[in-house]
Amino acid sequence: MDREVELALVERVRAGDTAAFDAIHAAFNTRLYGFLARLARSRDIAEDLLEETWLRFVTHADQLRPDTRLGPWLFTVARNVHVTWCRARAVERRATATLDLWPAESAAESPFAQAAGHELGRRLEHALASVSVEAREVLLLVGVEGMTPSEAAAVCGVTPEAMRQRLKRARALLSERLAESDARPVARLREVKL
Amino acid sequence: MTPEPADPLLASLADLSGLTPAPALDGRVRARCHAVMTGRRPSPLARTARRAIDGLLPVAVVVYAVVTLAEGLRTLLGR
Repeated sequence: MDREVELALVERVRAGDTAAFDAIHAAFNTRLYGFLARLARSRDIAEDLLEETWLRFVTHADQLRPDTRLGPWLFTVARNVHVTWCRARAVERRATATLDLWPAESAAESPFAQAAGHELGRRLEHALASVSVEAREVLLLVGVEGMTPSEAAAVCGVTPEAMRQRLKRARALLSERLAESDARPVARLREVKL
Repeated sequence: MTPEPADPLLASLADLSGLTPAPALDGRVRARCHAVMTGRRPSPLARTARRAIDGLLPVAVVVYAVVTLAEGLRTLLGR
């Protein structure tokens, strides 16, 4: 998004312009959804988290700084929403029996597997889904969203140096998982069922 | 710190298929967000009144301080 257009949209959405919100929603909604769906490994959960992200955005829209960069701001909120959800789920898991986690034998084929039409895409999705959530968010922000490590560091609330290390580890882990998948057939991806 | 644009592994992630949310969700989210935005937006009159009050507050504080100081001095000198 052009910076001048972005600044104008920020100004308008701060003033409560719903048309400006629609423009921002159109520009970022699919990207945020892809980020959340791969992070949470579930479409249903991603849809809930996406809705929460947008509601937080409009709730705080009048407090945005005039020079706000919408992309990093929105991805930071989306990440925080996911972190909050993970913490709630951890509490729930401690309080209840074990849940049916990835991969689930009885679950339907994941949308990621359906979307990954070609073999490399399928392997990448599988490898991405198999790494830790910390590694996955770094790979999604830098690899899929094309953020610089500095931008990703701001989103994750860590220093650029720490992000560089995390990216290095995450990349190595992804590469390792891809190599493992080369040695055996890739299983069908399943969504997490809670 | 520099990104690694030439890294083929990271570059391949950018080629992953896009995932799209259900259209019904889009409509629901936009409607809820519009409701939040229009609900919280004050009327032009309320905005003007709030700005006026915000502008008057420092003046009121200064006037109060001057009156309190004058009253204190008057009491002190009157003894």
